[in-house]
Amino acid sequence: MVHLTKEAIEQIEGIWKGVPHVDITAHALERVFEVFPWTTRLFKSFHGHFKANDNGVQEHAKKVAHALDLAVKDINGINHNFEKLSIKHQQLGVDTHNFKLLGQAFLVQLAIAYKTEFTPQKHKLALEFFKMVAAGLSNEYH
Amino acid sequence: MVLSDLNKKVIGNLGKKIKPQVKLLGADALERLFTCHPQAKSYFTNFSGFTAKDKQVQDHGVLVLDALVEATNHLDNLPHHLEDLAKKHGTNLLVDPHNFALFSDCIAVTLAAHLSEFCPTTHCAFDKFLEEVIHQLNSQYR
Repeated sequence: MVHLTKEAIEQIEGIWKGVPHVDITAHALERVFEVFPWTTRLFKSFHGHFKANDNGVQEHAKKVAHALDLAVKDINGINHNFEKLSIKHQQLGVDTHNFKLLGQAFLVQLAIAYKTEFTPQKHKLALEFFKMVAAGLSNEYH
Repeated sequence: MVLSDLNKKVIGNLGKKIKPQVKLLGADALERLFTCHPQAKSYFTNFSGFTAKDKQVQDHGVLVLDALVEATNHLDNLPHHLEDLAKKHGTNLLVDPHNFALFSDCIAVTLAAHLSEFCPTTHCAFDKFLEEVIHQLNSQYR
């Protein structure tokens, strides 16, 4: 696992701080559900309502955004801090590849939010962060 | 892979938006690829630099995006249209196919950062189109 420098962590914190957390998460979810529709597999309870403003997506966005807040606050401790979340996701039957797909959706949302300020260097750091989140969520699968 | 009529319309429009900016967008996408996935540089050991400002990167970006834009004009005939490029990649260039998916993700971020619109519907059509192009490029490796 990549161990990020203090400088890299500060930059990631800055990227996350500059966007509205629940809003960007809801839009990332809408995007992942539309671009990679198999990610809707475990969300049949949403009854086909997968837009950012739909209730189910909003509720799920709040949970995901909260977890990402915790991840950003202690990036190098993600594997430890996400232990229970990882176990829960396996119990729910979530394919770990979905975490990478949501990560890509987030990168696109960040590019839309920041436009060309989302430089290749910031893109790389954000990618590293979402890879670490995905790894943390996958870590307890067996 | 079936491109719907809506997909084809969206991809055609996207090609028209990308065409006047191939140099800018191509270089940006490549810099993102080389920054986020340094293993991609393995295929360019003759390059003296890997940023959007480097001429070799700009020239290669134009080459790739010109080909993608041209492919948007042949959506009903992609296998035949891409046959020569597929042979070139499969017998001569021998780029590990994994890199194409990584590059596709980087191009998506480039488009999100630079275009005025990259909504989930556009992103989905683009991703399907790239997936088909990649499938064709991979078709003559073995």
